[in-house]
Amino acid sequence: MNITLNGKEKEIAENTSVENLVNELKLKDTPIVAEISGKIIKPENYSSAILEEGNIVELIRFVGGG
Amino acid sequence: MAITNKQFYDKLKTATVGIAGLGGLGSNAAIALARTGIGKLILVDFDCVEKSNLNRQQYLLSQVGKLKTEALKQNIIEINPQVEIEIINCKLNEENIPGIFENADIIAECFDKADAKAMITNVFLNELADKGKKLVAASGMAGTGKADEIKTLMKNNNFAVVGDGKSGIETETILTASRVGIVALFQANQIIRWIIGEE
Repeated sequence: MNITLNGKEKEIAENTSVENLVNELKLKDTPIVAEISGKIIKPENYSSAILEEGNIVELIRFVGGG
Repeated sequence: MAITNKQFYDKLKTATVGIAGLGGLGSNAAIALARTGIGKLILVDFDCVEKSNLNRQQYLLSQVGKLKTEALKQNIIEINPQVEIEIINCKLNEENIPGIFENADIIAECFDKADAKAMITNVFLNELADKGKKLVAASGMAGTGKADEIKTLMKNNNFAVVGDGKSGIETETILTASRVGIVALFQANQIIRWIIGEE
């Protein structure tokens, strides 16, 4: 199935969770903000948040410096 | 038609901007907004000025040891005494952010640590975005990469992220006055655009 990840089409397997996606993208240890179709997903819910066909996913990655 | 001088300064004068963190980003963004004629700034930080800050932050050698809030307020008054300044000496967290920025129209995320950046963004998107507030965050400004790699990414009409999206202190180690300053001024520019009703 397909989702839109940060503005680009991406094919993922059925039953992929936000946690799976984060791991696949090697963002496990990076502070991120995850949004699925406008709804913020809290880090403690990454494993239970299952992506669905057509979801618009924003993973906003933060790196240090300021 | 271009905005007139009067329209521009009238809008600026009525705006309140919260600056979360007064390091390289916050001190530069706040001064740019003060010079432009912003109505009110809410300056928040818990730290004191250190010598090592002077490579990129808008403080003076004579201000080392002072609270950043006090020092930045002093510097802004020297530039534009008409700006109303509220200073808050505390460490921002999930609990106190909504209250501290209750009266801010726009918030600038100016922290240095990545997890703090993600924290305030989460609080904003969960609790403040639907109250009509806006947030401009910053991610990716370390190192010596091309200035042109720095972009203002509009996540939606009330949330933008400035930076190159990748260069963190975790891998790059260096923070320069030029690159951090560019990001801070991009943040200030986005804030001004929002205030005058641009995207």
